Amino acid sequence: MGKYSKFLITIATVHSVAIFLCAKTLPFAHQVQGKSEVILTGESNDTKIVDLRTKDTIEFGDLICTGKGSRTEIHHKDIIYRLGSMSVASWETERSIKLFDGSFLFCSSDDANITISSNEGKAEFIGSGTIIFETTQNGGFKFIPIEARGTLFTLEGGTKEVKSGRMILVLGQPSYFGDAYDIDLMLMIKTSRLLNSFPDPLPSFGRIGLAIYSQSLKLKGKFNALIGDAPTKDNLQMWKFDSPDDQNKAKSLLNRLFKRN
Amino acid sequence: MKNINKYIVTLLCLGQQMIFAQSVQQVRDRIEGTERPVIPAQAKGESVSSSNDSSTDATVSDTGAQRPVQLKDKGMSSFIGYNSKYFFRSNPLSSSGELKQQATGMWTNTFFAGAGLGVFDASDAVITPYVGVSYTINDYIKSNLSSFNYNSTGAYALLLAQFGNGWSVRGGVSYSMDSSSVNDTEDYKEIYPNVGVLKSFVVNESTTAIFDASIGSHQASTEKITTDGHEDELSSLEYSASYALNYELMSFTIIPKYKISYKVYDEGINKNRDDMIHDVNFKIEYPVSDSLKISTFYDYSTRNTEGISDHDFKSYDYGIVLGLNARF
Repeated sequence: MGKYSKFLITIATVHSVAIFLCAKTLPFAHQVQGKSEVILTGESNDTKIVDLRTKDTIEFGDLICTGKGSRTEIHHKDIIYRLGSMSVASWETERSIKLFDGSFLFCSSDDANITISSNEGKAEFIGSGTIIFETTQNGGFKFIPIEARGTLFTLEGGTKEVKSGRMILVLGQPSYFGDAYDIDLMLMIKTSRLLNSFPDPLPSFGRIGLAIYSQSLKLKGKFNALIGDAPTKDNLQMWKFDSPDDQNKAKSLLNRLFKRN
Repeated sequence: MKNINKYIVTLLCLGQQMIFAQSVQQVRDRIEGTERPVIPAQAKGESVSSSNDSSTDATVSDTGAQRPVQLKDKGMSSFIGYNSKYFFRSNPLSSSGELKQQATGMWTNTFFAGAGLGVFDASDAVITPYVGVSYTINDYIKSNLSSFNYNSTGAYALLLAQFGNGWSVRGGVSYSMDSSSVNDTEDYKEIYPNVGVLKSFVVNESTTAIFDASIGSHQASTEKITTDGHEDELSSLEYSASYALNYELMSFTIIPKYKISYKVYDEGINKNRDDMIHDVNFKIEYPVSDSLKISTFYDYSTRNTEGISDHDFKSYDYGIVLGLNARF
């Protein structure tokens, strides 16, 4: 074999390895609960709706829609995504996801760099953790880090450090940060289907436990209210409720006798 | 006649010395049979505060209910508390032989305070330094034992690291001192550097198991029994492990616990001595409010001593405890 042939083989090998390394890996459905569909858009903009099944790959740009009471877990490289019911999302590129409506969970043990956008909100997260995103009526979305380390960037709001349990609103175009609230992680974990309605536990289970523990050590008090939707950019719904103490007080004999509340 | 007087004086002195020696020995026996839980459960990563929450009835959703909370900036926290314990003790002076010897009632009143000096989130652990102090008044109800009444002072500093896999590791040093409330003498003091691990397991919805293991060196100082004795004869190296179940039944918490300890002594008359201590405890707790708890307990312990004679003992306690604890 001459020098020329050797050189050709080397070039071919290097190219093959480069092509292999640069090959785009696609997200795939790891688990489908209920009914989820994919809206495929052809080159001539014609659309086709197909059912999403376990192990189906998802092309960038396809729309994933989940039905009522249906949820889907999607894996992409080492990242786990869970799409909540009545949600519509699309993987625009390897590192960019658009959530048109509904909610989804992001879970990565290693540092990642993803851009999340909704109809009117856009933010870039660099870091790792378990984070829930939920769209709001005003077109933005809630960024809820259950346990996370890293930064969140918006064009108008700049960069903010992400803290476990501190929910932040992302609003507007160009996007900025809305109000931030520390939320009760224990309650969140108990009531979130994205966290606990899937048969495989998240690999970040231990770190979620630590975030709950850390929050319990720092806890000063809990407000008797639940955060709801954000119908406009200036409004955030809050639902007030009575604590058990208030309820007992209301039921006490003296309060009943004197009709005090 | 002079000789007889001399003999009587010598005899009286010897008798007094013997009485004194017996009393010191009894105090020492009492000290050896005393448990020193200077560090409260919350500083060991043991406490799991579960409060009834009406918001947990909130509708389950994909995202989950978002209840706003208020957090302390640096995670600094403090707690103070008071425990009053009224109980029967079958063998208060830890005498060898019968299970029931000089059985008495005891009333102990403990005042304690502590502080968490911040919460530090490391990548795989949450680290919390704690410091605290306690003061306990220990009174024997039976009048012929009231000369043994004593007060205990305790202090500790420890670093607790809680890991995501459920294990926590702690390391620290505690100080204990017993003083006789009758004679106003310092009967015992010790410095106890120690390390320990603790792991909580969820057995089922209503039961949590807690495994705890520790090793520490009791660097003790006490009054000499004999003129050629050593002040540090009660110093020992202690290895201990315990396993407890916390079973929630309605508002009650039922806690059976078993603890095994092995102590190695190496000073003075205790050279080559080792103790094996078994302790079984059964406790029922009832929270009257967030900060007030009433509990009843039964405790049985035995000690087998090798290397020194007549030191095995067994004892049991039962009684009630009223506990007040406030967190800030």
